[in-house]
Amino acid sequence: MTLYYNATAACPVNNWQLTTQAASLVSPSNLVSPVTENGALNVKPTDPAIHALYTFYLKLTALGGSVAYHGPFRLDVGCTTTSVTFADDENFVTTGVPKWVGDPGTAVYTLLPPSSTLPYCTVTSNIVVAADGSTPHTKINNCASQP
Amino acid sequence: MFDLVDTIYPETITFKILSTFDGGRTHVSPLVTTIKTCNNNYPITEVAAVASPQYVAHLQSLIGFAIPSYTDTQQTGCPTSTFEVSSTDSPTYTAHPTLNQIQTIGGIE
Repeated sequence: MTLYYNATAACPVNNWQLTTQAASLVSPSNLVSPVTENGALNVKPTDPAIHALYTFYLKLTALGGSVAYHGPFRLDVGCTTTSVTFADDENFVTTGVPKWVGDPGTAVYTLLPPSSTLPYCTVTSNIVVAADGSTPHTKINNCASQP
Repeated sequence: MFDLVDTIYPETITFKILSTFDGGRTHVSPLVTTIKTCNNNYPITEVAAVASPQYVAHLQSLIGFAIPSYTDTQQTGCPTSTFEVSSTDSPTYTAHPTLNQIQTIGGIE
């Protein structure tokens, strides 16, 4: 996070407060106050395991009482609709292996999994669904469908 | 890798793959199509034999030779569906010159 200074070096900004508003102090419940780590002030979510986009402002107070608001700032944590997109493999195959009636139905299709624009957003499961994408499929076995 | 639940019936199956990523984000694949087809090598066996010769009264045009019933190894999805009367037991079909084809109500006329 950027460190702020006022024009008078003798009266430095000495208080940083998070707020959800552009011109008033309403502390966000899902972010913790900035803490210094490795020489920089950092804002972190209350629960770092949650995938979410946080928008916040900073209320800056200088020694002597001068106040300013800056922002908005956005902290995008994890895999959100605003942080990552997915794409099918360029060699994605749209046909399964033809089978004869009565033959083993194994290995009818091998998935080339989709890719992610963020390395930490990885596939956790693949399941077969109906053509409309909405319901579980009854003719393809999902037992062997893990990535 | 995905498997078919069964290969009992001939059919075309379409599906998509729903991939779930960290954070619950999802991605749906393009449509995939796969087919199951009846093969032409299923052994056919006779289920119930019939008498031969069969004797029928003359001029009863609707009654003929009642043929046996047959089944094949994939009878559920690929049943024996065509019966043709041949004049020989050769694998090459030769239409019989004096018998009509099979009528389901009675037999061969």
